[in-house]
Amino acid sequence: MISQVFILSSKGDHLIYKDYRGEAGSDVINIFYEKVTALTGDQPPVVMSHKDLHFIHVRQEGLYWVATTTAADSSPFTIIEFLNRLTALVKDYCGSLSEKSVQMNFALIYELLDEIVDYGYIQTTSSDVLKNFIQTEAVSARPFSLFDLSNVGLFGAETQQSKVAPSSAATRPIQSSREGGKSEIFVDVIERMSVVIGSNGVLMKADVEGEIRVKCYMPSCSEMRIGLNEEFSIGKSQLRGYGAAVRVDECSFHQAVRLDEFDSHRILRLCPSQGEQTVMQYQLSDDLPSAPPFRLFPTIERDTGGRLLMYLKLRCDLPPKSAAINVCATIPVPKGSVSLSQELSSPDQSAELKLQSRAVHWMIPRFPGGTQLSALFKLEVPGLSSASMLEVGPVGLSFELPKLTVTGLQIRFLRLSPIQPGPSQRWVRYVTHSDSYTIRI
Amino acid sequence: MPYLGSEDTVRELRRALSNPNVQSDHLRYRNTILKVIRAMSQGVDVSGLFSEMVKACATVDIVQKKLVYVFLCSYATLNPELSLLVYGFKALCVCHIRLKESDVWGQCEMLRILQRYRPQSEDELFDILSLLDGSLVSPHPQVMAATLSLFLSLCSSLPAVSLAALERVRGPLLAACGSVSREMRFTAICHIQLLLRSVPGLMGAHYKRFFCGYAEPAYIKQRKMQVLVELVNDENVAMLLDELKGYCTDVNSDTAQAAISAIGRIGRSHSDRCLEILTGLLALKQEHITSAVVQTMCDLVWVCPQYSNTVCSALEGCEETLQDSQGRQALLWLLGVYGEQVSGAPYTLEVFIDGVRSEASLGVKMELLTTTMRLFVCRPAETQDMLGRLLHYCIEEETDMCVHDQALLYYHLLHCGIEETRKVLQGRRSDPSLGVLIGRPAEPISQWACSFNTLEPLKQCSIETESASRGSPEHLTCDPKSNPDLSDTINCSRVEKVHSGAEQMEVEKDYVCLKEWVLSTAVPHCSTQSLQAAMQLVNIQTLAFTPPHTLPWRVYLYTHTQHEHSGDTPHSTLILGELLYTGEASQRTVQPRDDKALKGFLSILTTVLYTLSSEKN
Repeated sequence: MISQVFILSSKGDHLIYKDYRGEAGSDVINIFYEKVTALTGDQPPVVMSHKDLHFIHVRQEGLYWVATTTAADSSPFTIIEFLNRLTALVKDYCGSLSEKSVQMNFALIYELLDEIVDYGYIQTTSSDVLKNFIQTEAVSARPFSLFDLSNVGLFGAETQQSKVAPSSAATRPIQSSREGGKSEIFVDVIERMSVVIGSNGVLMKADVEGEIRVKCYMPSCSEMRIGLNEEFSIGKSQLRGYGAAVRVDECSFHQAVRLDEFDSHRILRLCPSQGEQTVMQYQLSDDLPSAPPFRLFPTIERDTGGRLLMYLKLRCDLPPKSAAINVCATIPVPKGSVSLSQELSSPDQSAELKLQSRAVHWMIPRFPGGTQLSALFKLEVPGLSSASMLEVGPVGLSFELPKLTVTGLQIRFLRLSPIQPGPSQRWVRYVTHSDSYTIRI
Repeated sequence: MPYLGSEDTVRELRRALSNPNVQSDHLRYRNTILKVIRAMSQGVDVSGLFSEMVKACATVDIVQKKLVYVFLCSYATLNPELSLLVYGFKALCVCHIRLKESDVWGQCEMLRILQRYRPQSEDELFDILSLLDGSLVSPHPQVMAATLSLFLSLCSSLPAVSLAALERVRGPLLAACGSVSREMRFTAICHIQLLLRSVPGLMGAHYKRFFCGYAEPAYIKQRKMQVLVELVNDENVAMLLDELKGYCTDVNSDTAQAAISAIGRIGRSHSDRCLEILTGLLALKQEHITSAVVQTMCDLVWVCPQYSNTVCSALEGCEETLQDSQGRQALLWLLGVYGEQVSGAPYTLEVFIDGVRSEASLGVKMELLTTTMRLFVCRPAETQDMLGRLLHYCIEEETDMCVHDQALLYYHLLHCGIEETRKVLQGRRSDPSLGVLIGRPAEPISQWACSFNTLEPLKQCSIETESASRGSPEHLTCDPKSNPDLSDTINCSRVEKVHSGAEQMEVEKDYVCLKEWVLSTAVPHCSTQSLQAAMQLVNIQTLAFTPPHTLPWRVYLYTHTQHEHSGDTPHSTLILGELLYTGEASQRTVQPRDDKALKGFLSILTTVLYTLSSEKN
């Protein structure tokens, strides 16, 4: 049972406050903020207590989303999932999630909070049900941008760009489809990889968590059929088709997904709700179908002047047509490092020494498959000892692999029925993120 | 509406509720439910409509759903016996059929309400269990958790079934551990820790899932490390240590220290490699790392005295890097106990003694006194002068009563002669012949089942982490260190310590030391397994023991209780016990004053010992 819900900015400003049961006053907001800011780094912030009141919160986009309850036997799974779902709803309804959008759309958010919880009991968080009740229009927090116009073809002609959805297309309020807005549906295949590569280059761990997310801006969509690769298989024993096997260990589906065509044709059938929903989740452990996307070849030594030399060669093993973007390698360096000089293999790369996190950040905006980049870092470390070498590494890599799934999962087709009247667009997007990509030195 | 008796009303309403024509018409269905609620609020007993109302819950019509909840809540809380016992099973089946159709929040609420229902027969129980099976592997973690919670409460008398259920939720729980939401990850990890208390091997094959991501927050990393320590075995130990070693130089010092102490914990069973890593870290000469390493070595060497040589040689020179009081206290303790093996020990002590005037930490001063005394006993020539200076300062100039009294006590002790002093000071050494219980014994599920899917496992609470590491000798090591001498010499005394300084807070510690004679001669000849098993039945944990048929024969035990006080801080009692057999058995305990808990402990322990003796005879 939820007693109160409130949203705070990272500075502690009260953005939203809703009391469901009258069990505690609004003064607890300040108590929460004092508590959460007084925590030391190692104390878990998720659940905190004050007298008989328990605070459960999640942090998203710098905001604190807090629920309070007086029942210590409340399910943390339920409350945390509820808060996550609330953030997703606010994002769906307001278009984006930020302090500004929450501030501008407070009436809408109060309306949402009114409908989704009653006297502390969660009623529904389904946008299909909620669309009947939510009347307030969203105010877009995003300023008008000329870039949005660049995708409009002259006199409606198909331009090259109009085949690609603008990146902002999926960050608009779902209600905008109500008044003759564009009728669109996005199907995203998102994978997150978590990899550990040993100092000898051996792959120690490789986990992939993936999901298929549908974001629907269609006022009336009765049924959608999503066809996956025919050779998609689940578990170790099962193998299908002739081509390269696309295999996952475990797979689960949203309860609205009908699977009657799944076994025979790998087709998911569902009636998408307005807004965003995850229709399928899957995991793969320790068995990537291809080589891990990045390998590192480091040479680390002390030079005669007592400086630390790090010569790093980073190879991208993606297929040549693909590329990684926003690659950032974080290389922990010894304590007391003062300054950095660098030689990078191309001008678009950059690197800097972050003293606070005691690491060198090496940024590569675009990294095509099959290529290799190198960097030479010279660090000034007063009092550098041989033991300090222990502090170098492990290297963490963060990156994005657009248009690519590491499991090989693909969407063969996307069919809507009945055929949508008027212009409607279907988008399929693939992306792989690094959840944690660690290379030991 | 014509006047009807309450039975007629209920019959009428039931007919309407089960009429398919009504059900297919949203408005009529909702109106009928409204009538039920109206009757309910007028005082008519409509509990007989429970199952019909549960069916009505499965709807997308939110108004109707809200109405049904009003009904469910009033009958479930005010009249649980009636609504659940009489209609329980029927309701359960209906619930389940509808479970899939109602949304996840409704399912969770339903599963929660069902926890109060007790099936009447075993057949019924198994029917229910098989109905629930599908929800155990639900992709929604909240449904999975609520189902497991219900499962465990239904199967409290069927441990095998509960264990099978734990196996089933492994997949969904691991998936939740990899969730995008870090709060959900944390929740899942905390609950996995609960499961591991009963099935230590449950996640063995999946230990890599608990490797820390470099961008994860410190609180998640720490919990993951706690899990990793539990999952260590001969095959994965090298891999695990490699991973943990990487965390030791983390930029976050809390994470680094947690990693170092995790390596120390693993060192109890796989010491060589661990000691090598720990000694290597000392070379970094970083304050927080050195402090954590010395503290960890201190704990490790208490449990594994055979490594004292390695530890002592590593200690040389690290006093320059140590800044914080815990680290220096640990170093002093090591110097006191292994002073003979560290050639430079007197010189290190001298630095401490010269700086005692500016020393702010009470703990360091107390430890310094004890260490200097201990070193004096084994190396009198080198230490006599500085001991004199230290005692003089503490007795004449020190303002803190605790330090002053301790110094005075030692001063008088020295007057009793060197033999007497040695007896008191060297009483507390760990016995290399003690076999340490590696890994912890599996606890019964009932120990934690009631806190599963509550906020309890997520809270930062020292008791929680203690119970998560049962079977570890940590508790034994901290107590003798912080107050090693008084408890030995002064029986049944009460010592009050007032901490001053940084904390600005008064902490009162009560210690009681008791001796109790128990006549049960057969116990030392029991197998350790049966003793351990017997103790565990009454929730007493064994820490260490001497092999059977040796004299003096000893077992160390502990247990703890916890009471919720009105304030924020829970009040807890830790009971440490030593069973000593020297021809006749005796037992002593050191613990904070809590007479009730102590009496209870003694009577239970006595009963266990008698039971064991009588079985033997």
